[in-house]
Amino acid sequence: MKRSTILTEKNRSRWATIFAAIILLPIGISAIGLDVSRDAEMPDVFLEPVDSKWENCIRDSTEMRFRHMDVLKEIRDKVIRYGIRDEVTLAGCGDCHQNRDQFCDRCHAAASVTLDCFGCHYYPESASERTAIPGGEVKNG
Amino acid sequence: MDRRIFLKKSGPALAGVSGAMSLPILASCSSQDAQADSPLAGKKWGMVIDLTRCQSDCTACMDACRQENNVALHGDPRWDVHWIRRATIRPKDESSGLEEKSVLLMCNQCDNPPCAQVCPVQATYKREDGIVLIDHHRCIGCRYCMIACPYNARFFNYKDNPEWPNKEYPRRSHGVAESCHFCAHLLDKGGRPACVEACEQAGQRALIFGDMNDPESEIAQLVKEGLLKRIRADWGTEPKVYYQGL
Amino acid sequence: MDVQFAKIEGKSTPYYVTVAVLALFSIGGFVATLVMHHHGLHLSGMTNRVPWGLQISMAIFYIGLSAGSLVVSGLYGVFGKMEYKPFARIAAYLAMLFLIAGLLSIFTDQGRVDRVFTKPFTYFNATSMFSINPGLYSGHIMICVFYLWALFKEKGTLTKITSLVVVLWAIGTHTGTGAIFAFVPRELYNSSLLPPSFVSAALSSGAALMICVIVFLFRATKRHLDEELIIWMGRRLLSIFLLVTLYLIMIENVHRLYLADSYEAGRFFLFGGSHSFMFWIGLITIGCVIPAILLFTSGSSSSSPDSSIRPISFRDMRSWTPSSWREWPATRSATWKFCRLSAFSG
Repeated sequence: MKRSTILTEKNRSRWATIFAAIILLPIGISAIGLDVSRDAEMPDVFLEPVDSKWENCIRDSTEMRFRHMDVLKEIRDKVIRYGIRDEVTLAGCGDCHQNRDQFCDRCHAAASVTLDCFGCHYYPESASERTAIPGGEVKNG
Repeated sequence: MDRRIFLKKSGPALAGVSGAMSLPILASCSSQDAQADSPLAGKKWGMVIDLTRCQSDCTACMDACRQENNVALHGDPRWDVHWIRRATIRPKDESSGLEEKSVLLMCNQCDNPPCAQVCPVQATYKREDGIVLIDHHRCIGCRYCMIACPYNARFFNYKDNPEWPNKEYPRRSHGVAESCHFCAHLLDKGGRPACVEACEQAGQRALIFGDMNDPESEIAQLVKEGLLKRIRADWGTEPKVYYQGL
Repeated sequence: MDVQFAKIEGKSTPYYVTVAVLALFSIGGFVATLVMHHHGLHLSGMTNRVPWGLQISMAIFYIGLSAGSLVVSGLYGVFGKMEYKPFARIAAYLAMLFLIAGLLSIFTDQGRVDRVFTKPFTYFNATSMFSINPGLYSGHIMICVFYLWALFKEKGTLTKITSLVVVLWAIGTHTGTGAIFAFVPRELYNSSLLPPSFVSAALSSGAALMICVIVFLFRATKRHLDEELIIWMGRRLLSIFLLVTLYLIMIENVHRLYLADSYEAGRFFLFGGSHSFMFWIGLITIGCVIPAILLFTSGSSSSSPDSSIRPISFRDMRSWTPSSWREWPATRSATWKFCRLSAFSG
């Protein structure tokens, strides 16, 4: 009795297709995710200023909307590498935008972006959580 | 992007491209170039640990450090993280006339830090004011720095830190290494390291901290006297933590 | 000696069983890695005292095997020895696989796996052996592939040129691995003899691996094996590399004991530490002395029991010992005399 082998000359192209499909799977998933996130409801309230010591945001709102991650990284590298602490850091964002749930999580969830900030940096999820902890007045660090 | 920062960022990347062929040249110039307007320029922080004043049963500096920097304490010596810790050293033979000593050990903030030399991602680096610190956003957790450090000052976060006493300062996730950084975040705001403050409040003043480049400072004068010792300076690491009475 | 290669068909039940078992192992390892990185590296059993554990040891063991078997394979081309021809191909193939295994072992050992493929490229640190070695390793794999291609196509001159590059590159690869430990300011790591002894240990384990694999494969498939070949390999390759390794280790430790500066460290390593027995029993006895005795006293067919001991014990112990070395400075700080303080001088 003749058994079929896994890889023969004939079905080689079929295996190649399956292999390529597995390799390209992540790209496909991202494409679908992008499509879904376009339909998702994006929050339009970004700023809830609460008697803040800051008058304006550190950059104008268009730049913040599209480049906030880069802006934060630039400030981060300035602080960590060169000790220049002349700008508001991540903790300082909370002075105006007290509600992480609204300010960060909603949009990132809609865009399916996983944040790696708040495991280490403190940013209370809601304004009530901020006042609940002792010493919760997070100053510009 | 700020042009200066762009240059800073692209420097190491270019170093990567040009590769190992120009190793000796890169070693001297790819690391942080002097930055003209850096607030850190010209400073050289150092610490003197005066063991004649340090009480062996006092834990003020260690507690303050944990409070300030969110240093993890799991209750298991295998995974506890220490930025400043106490060790007892004993004479090798009783007849030598030397007695047991309790010594504070911490990151020695070397001028030639082996940890920064071996870090594959430049997460560990020496700042312009001589402080060796870690960019935890960059650390990949290879633990090469722990192997390279002759002082065993580096510790690794094997677990997530359950405590978070100081919300103003970030804690570390599991999977990155850490060690003392002379409370650089306080220094930049004009303060002093938490352990130094705590030691003074406990009334011992065993930790003396200051700028060694400032000839008026207490530490510069102590160092100038030439009676201080440094641990394992024979490796050429040039530590900036000095011991009195060791 | 005329050598004929035949294609296997991959139809038998044992073949499918092997594939299934290996797949199970891979899935198990993958799940274990995910779990470990979700909960933190403490699940790997490493501590702040011994930060590099079994995974790094195994990685170095694998890289050593890879470099060793690639050199053994390259010898066929360099010296044109037909004796090597039967295993030149499988040696190069295994070299590729073992290097990938070693890299996977290092990869899963990192604390932040998510950053491993981005940060080292963006923030290349030219002074770190961990940055230089990946270049050596990826080059190693590329050269393996090219060399395999040249071997399979039976390109005469090209094989010869490639094999020379292959031998040099493999030696460079393992020199780099040794330098990870050797270029570190600690008594028990810092030794310029460490990279050469890594290389010679790698060569001996590569030869041993080949003996193992060939004996196993030929016996399992009930094919005829030329015993002369195995004896030749054991006597000529394995034994020489083994003695060289032993010699390098001896010099390294004698030098350490001789100098007052590092005497205490050497004594701790050889006699005092909690892992000294590993050095004596694992590295010296099982890894070197027993194989050497077997090799030099055995008759025609008894090189196979030796070959089954060799690759497991020797490199493993060689690379296990470093992880215990880190304990030394901690212990040494407890010793008054050797808390080597040098007075500050200006």
